[in-house]
Amino acid sequence: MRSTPRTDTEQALLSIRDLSVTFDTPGGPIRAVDGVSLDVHPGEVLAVVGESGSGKSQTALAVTGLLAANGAAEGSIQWHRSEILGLPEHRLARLRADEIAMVFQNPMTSLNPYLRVSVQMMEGMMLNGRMTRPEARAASIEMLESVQIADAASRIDRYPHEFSGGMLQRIMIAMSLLRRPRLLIADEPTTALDVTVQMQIVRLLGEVRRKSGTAIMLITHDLGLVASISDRIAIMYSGRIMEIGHTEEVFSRPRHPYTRALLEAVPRLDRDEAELQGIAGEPPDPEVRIPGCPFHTRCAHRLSQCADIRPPMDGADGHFHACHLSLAP
Amino acid sequence: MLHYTLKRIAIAVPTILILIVLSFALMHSAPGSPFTGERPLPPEVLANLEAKYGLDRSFPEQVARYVWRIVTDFDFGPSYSHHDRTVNEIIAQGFPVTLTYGSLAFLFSILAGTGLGIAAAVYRKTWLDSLAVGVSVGAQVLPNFIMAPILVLIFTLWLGWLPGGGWQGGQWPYLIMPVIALATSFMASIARITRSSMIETLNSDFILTARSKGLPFRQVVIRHAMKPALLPVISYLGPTFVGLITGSVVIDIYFSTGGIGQHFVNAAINRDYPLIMGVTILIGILTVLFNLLVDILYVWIDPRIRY
Repeated sequence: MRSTPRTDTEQALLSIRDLSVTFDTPGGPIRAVDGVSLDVHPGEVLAVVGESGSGKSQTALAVTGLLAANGAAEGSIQWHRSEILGLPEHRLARLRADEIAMVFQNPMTSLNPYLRVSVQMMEGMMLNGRMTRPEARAASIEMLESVQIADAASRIDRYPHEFSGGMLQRIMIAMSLLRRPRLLIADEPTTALDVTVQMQIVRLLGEVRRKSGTAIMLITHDLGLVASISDRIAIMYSGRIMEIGHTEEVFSRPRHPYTRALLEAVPRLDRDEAELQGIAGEPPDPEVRIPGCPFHTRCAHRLSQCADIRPPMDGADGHFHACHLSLAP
Repeated sequence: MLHYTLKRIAIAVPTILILIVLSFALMHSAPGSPFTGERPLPPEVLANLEAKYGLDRSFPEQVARYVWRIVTDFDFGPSYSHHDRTVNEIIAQGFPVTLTYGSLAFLFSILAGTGLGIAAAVYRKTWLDSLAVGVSVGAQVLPNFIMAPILVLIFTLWLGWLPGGGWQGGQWPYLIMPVIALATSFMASIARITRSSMIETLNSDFILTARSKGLPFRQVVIRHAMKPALLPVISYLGPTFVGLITGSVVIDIYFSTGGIGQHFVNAAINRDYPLIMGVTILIGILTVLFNLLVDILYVWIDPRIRY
């Protein structure tokens, strides 16, 4: 039914195929991710965009094996062409320690308030005697300096509450880079921060990619952020990928009605609009399984088969969309 | 930190003074006297007795003399009911006993309680969790005065493994049942507090961060979750301490251990004012000191609390 999107011939770092994540809740099973397929290539920034509840964070957590206890993932997740979905916890822990790092939404709650920053930064590097304490400390201070934390040598021994939100996020990013990961998953890294600080963090992420060649999977709902640093973009809705392609392509020639509606909902200074266009209606209830396209209830271009038949991924040249109707570019 | 500690100690002193005056006033206002018996004493004898113990003086004078003796000599005066002994002697004899089984019960309830709670939280929704919850609910509904006879019934009368009472200088067979009977319900409360607090902590964002660093789960629990999860337990230590003291009344009576708990009740029945006062003040001072310790511990553990 669904064709596998093959974006280009380059070897993928991370390959997700037909991933589904289901949560077992007292009210019945909830499918948060529903048949997602995507690739992340070495050194690229892939933005995963969607509203809250679209399954983007759960996709990321499934990759690192950090789903909540009541969550289960099915499908395939390959890291360097070897399957990692269903690996035992100690193997996944090693993967997280060495290759896939994560940065989370709220830096104020993501660091342990009871431990000094130095302890939290150094512990990952000192796992299994990889580094000695002085080595780990030196590396941490150096990394803090590289994310523009002034006076890092003395401030590293402070507690998280002694830093501002923006600084904490830079510390989080520094901490995640210490182990020289191949992939950094940043889950809404700017959402909890002041607008003025958001730009600093975005620039920092861009720098990280440029300097260390770390691939970044950037999860966000902020299209402006996406436009500024991502190479490719995946638009998610109700646990599925609606459209995926090169950022410029998707922005200039969106194929999916949802992508269009999303782009029209972004305020722009270069357009003179009386009122911002929202998307009418609500996202579907995650407890109800939709046989067709999850967007059909809100779609302006709805066809008769949209409610019942799931649209396959369609497209070419690395630009795919899941819609029965191919919108003219 | 030092400033905070000194300030807290400075507050503790008037607290203890107020405690002394209040308990003295309460006792003074209670009807009857230690010398009212079935046969009333002749008025001259009564007057002599009251003069001897200073009971003929005005209330403020009595309080002042009493406090002064404690402050200068730490002397609680003679006991009224034990004629040849002072309150200090009685306390010196009973207090080490109470301290021995009390601190063991304290340690046992903390170690077993937190251990059980952490295990239940970490292995949540497994048989271990159910077992831990079952044990703690069961133990919760067994206060010391129920626990004591049950233990004696099983281990002394049925199995004959342990002596049913006595102290013998605190040899371990004599210690086991008093400690367990006293500790059980507190252990259960601590286990429940630890479990729910650990479950909450394990759902925190910073635990997800710690796990995303690839730390082994054991290290995540010990290094990242332990401190925040045990903070509510520390707040519960104050009430636990007081509960252990009052519990010692039951233990002393039930197991004839000879601690100061028994004097608590007997002195009140005999209207032995100096002994009641002595025991009350001693426990009051310990409680104040203990709460001081808990507060300092709190500040030490949570870097965000600063005074």
